[in-house]
Formats: sequence, structure tokens, C-alpha cells
Amino acid sequence: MTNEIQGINVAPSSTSGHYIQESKKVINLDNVNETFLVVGKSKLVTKNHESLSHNKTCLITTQQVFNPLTRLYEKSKD
Amino acid sequence: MKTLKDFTPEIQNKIPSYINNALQGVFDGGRYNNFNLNNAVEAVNYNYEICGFKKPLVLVAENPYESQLLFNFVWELLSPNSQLRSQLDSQLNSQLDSQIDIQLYSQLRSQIDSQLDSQLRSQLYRQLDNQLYSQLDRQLDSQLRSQLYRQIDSQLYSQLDNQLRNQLYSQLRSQLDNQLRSQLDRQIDSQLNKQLDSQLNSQLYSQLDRQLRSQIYSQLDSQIDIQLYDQLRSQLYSQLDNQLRNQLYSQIDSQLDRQLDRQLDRQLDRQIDSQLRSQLYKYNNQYLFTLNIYSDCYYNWYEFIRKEFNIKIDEELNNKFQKIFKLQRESGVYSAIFSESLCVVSKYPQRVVRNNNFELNNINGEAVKWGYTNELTKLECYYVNGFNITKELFQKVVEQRLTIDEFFKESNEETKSSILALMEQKFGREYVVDFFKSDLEEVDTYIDKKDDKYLEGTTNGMNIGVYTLFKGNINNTEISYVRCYCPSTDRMFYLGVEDTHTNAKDAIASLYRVPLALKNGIEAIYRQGEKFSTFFNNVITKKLEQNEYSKEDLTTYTSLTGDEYFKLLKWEY
Repeated sequence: MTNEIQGINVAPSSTSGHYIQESKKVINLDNVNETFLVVGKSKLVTKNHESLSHNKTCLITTQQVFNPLTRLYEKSKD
Repeated sequence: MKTLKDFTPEIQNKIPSYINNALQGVFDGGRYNNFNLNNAVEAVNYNYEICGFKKPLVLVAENPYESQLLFNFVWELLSPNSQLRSQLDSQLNSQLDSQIDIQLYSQLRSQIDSQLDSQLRSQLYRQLDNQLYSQLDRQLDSQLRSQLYRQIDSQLYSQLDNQLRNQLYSQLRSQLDNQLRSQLDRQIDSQLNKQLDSQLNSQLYSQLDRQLRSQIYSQLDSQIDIQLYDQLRSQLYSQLDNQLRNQLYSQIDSQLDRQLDRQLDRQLDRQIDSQLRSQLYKYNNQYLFTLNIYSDCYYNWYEFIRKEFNIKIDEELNNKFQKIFKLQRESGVYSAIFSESLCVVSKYPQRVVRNNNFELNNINGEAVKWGYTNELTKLECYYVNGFNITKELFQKVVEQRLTIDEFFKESNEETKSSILALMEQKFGREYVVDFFKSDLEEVDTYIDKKDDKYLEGTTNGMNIGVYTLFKGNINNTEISYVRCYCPSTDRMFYLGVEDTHTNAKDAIASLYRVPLALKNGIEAIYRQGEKFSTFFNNVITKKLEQNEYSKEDLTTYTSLTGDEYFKLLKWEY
């Protein structure tokens, strides 16, 4: 009954978020890099891209982009 | 029981007319122009009546931002320990001082002036002026202040109207009649005062405030849910089979939802975050399916099912259903914020501009043009392909003032992509090429030709799987970027990579991360924007599920070579 995407956000630092739906369990393995274990079949939903279907357990990781000013990798955000 | 067989082509062909009906007047300002206060009040009252509440006071705002301010302002003003009220008082007092000075001083001076010649006047003024002024000020300050206060009070309030607080206050005063105001005051005060004593600190107060409000909202929402939504749903759904229901839902509901205000919610939240003073900082994300922009979606959705599949609904329920949605449609209410005694509604936008994908998009100005009562309550909505950007950034891009340095300093990839999309739409692709040409040199391009089965859900465009490595030097800093395109939206991205890379394939692969301990068991990689989903062989999957890896195993990352990455990459959106 709301217009927000429902589910567990596996991109908490992103503006739009990426949400896991229909999964048995989602475990946060790494707070800093936002790595999650998604147990069982699930669906990854976001506002900015098409939805992805996962047919079994998978690991969600985050793209790292290189910042030429700091010479460091940082989490990509959208 | 209705099944997919009943979903005939004739019925399917009627879907567009239901969608058009739900959206009529939303984008072209029709509903804004047809806003009717009496109808709005009637619609609000009926919702409250269904829930067993008394008629609330209804205030009208020109946009959702203004409605948030108005609601918070009233709430704050009527609450005990109101910071806002004390601020108003202090502002009033300081203005009062200067008013007294001006009025009395000028009166005295004109009387004295008329009775003295200019030489004497100058001399006397030099000697007496300061003394006289300070005496008057001191004496009058205590004796006349209260009398003048009463006389000037109303004038001062109107003079404050260039400030948000007073604008809202005036608006409130003009909309409130005494009876309703005192009723509201009594109700809220008594509710709060009973629960809060003077010893409660502000933290506790705000916690109670939140609880109180959320209870009211949840009561409203759940009561209407129970009375209408759930009953209707169960009656309709019991007569449709599961397959038909899913198909109908995906065809109608998702289209409507995507076209409506999901995109606006986030912007509104941000704007209120950044602009509101602390005491007005509250975003009331409340939702009642019978009294906002989505009401027509629900109505048309149910009407489509009810009429086209000839579903029988209890007459009394159907009458209630028809009435509540008719009232919303005729009211011109875009959204509403509720409390037991107060309801602030917002009108629809005056105009909405979208692209062919129904995303909010305007390269010539605001994509959503709202009305506003005051400059400070403006809600300015700039969007490019459904992505909200600030007015400042929008203007910089369209006035060609954005530098390449500023572009690369932007940390949000979607914002960067929106800048490029705006440049491309406004000035053409050549402009985008020229924007980078003086600072970036194209080094290498890699094309990942995808199997057709992995193109489902993409644009099928020619940019899918095309990665180009650029290198350059900006302000004495070596930079390298890979240009790529989102397969599901064709948006262009420039992603930073280390400047040691010499080919696009390895460069883009270097952005993928996987725990080193799991690297050798990867079966497939899917990608959605900046998130990767990695699937492993059964041994690793089982160990992961059984929590057999150490924290260190799972947080020590590595990347893949270009060859390794593209061999495993399947779905990409």
C-alpha cells in the first residue's frame, strides 16, 4: 500500500537502493563494502535498472570505482 | 471462477482506455485547474467519517512540500514547548522596539521642528537630541509598550509576511475560523497535555509526538483498508484465478505506478531535509489509498476487473467504493497529510513533462511545475530521464558552464549519467564528445557480444556491451575512465579506473570484486548497476550457507582479469 520499493536494501549507501525480494534469508557479511549473502531464490529490484532474478543462493558485492584524486577505490553509488 | 481464458483480446484492448482515464488531467494541469475546495473538504470528511473520526480542519497547499511545511508549522505552533512560538515572540518584540522608536520619535520631532527656527533647532538638537531620545526611549519603553503592542500587533504580523513562518501563519489564520481553531487547539492541547507534563523533555516529547501521529495514521489506513480495500480485494480475487491476476497486475498496475510520483517522493524528502529549519523538519510520508494520486489507479484497476469480468460485489460495499473514489477524483487532491484534527491536502502539479518512456524529463526547465504560495515554499523539480538533479546543476549544464573537472568530481554515478543525458538531449551527442575531447583521449574499445538470450529486458541497443577506455590529465592528475552504457536504459556512464590499465576489457573487469577465497568457484556473474550477484559451485554455496568461511575470508577481495570476467558475466542490467 505504499509506493516505495519493498525488500531488504543491499545498497544502503546508494540513493536509490537495490532491494532483495522473495528470499529466505539475507545476511550482511561486510558492512563496509556492502557484501550480502542471499540464501535461496530471490529477486533484485531497483528503481534505476531492470530487475534481476536469482535462481539460487548468491553473493551480492558492490562495484568499486577508482578515484584519481584520492588514488583510492571507493564504492560506486547511484 | 474466472481464468486466463476469460481475459479475451477484446478485454485486453480496453486496458489503454482505463489507463488514460486514470491519468487524465494529471500531466496537463487539468486536475490542478479543477481543484475545488468544497469537494476536497467533502472527500476528506468522508474518509474521516468512514473511520469514525470527527471532521478535521482541512488546509490546502499548492504542492506537497508546502503541505509538509504547513502541517509541521501548525503542529509545532500548537504544541507545548513550541520553539517556533517562542521564536515568533522574540521576532515580534525586536520589531516592536523599532516601531515604537520610529513612530514616537518622528511625531515629537515634527512638533518641535514646526515651532523652532532652523538655527536654534540645530543647536538644541546637538545638545538635547541624544538625551531626549534616550529618556523617551526608557520612559516609553515601560509605560507604552503594552498599549502599543496591542495596537501594532496585527500590523506587525502582516509586515512579517515575507518570511516563511508568518506567511504560513497568515495562511493558517485566513483559513481557520475561530471555532475550528479553538476546537483544534482544545483537541490537540488536551490530548498532548494529558499525556505530557511540563517535566517532559523535548526528546521524549518528539518521541511521543511520533507515536501519536503514527497511531492516527495507522488507524486511518488500517480502518479504510479493512472496510474497503480488503473486502474489495477478497471479493474480486476470489473470483479470479492466480495466473489471470498476475497478468492483469503486470499490465495495468505497474504501468500506472511507474508513471506516477514514485520519482518525486525521494526528491521531496531530500528537499525537506536540506531546507527546513529544525523545528519544521519532519517529512510525513503518510499514505491513504483513497485520497491521493494513486486513488485513481486503484479505482480503475478495480473497475476494470469488476466491469470487464462481470464480478459481483456486495451493493453496499460497491456504493461506498464508488463514492469514496468519485470524491477523490472530483476533489483535485494530489496528496494529504492526516492527523485526527488536521488534514493538509496538496493540489496536483500545474504541468508534468515526460519522455517517451514515461519518465519525468524536461531539458528546458522543471519537469514538474507546481504552484506555490510563497517563494520559500516552491517545489522545483528538475529531472532527466527520471533522475532528479538540482536546479543549480541543471542550469550549469544547460548554460554550458559545467567544467570537466566538476563533472569528474561528482561522486554519484547516476548524477554523472544524468548530466551526460541532459547534454546529449539538449545539444546533441557531438557536444558530449567535444566536452571530453580536449582532456580525454580514447585509448581502446572492447565489445562484449552478448548471446541473444541475455538481451531480454535490455534496450537491445547497439551500445550494449561496448566499453571504451579514455585517458587524460586534468589539473596535473592522471585520469582514466571507462565509458559504458546501461543495457536496460542505455544511459551512459564514465567509471573511474586505475591509470595503469591499457585496455578497456581489463579496465572494466577491475571494478568487479569477489572474496579471494571464493574466486575459483564462480559459476556466473550477474550485474544490476553497481551491484554484482555472483553464483558459486555447490561446494562453495553450501559452505557459504553453513557459515563456514571466516570474516577475513569474506572481506579480503580480489578482482578478475577481463577474460575471466567476461566469460562469467551473463545477465547485465
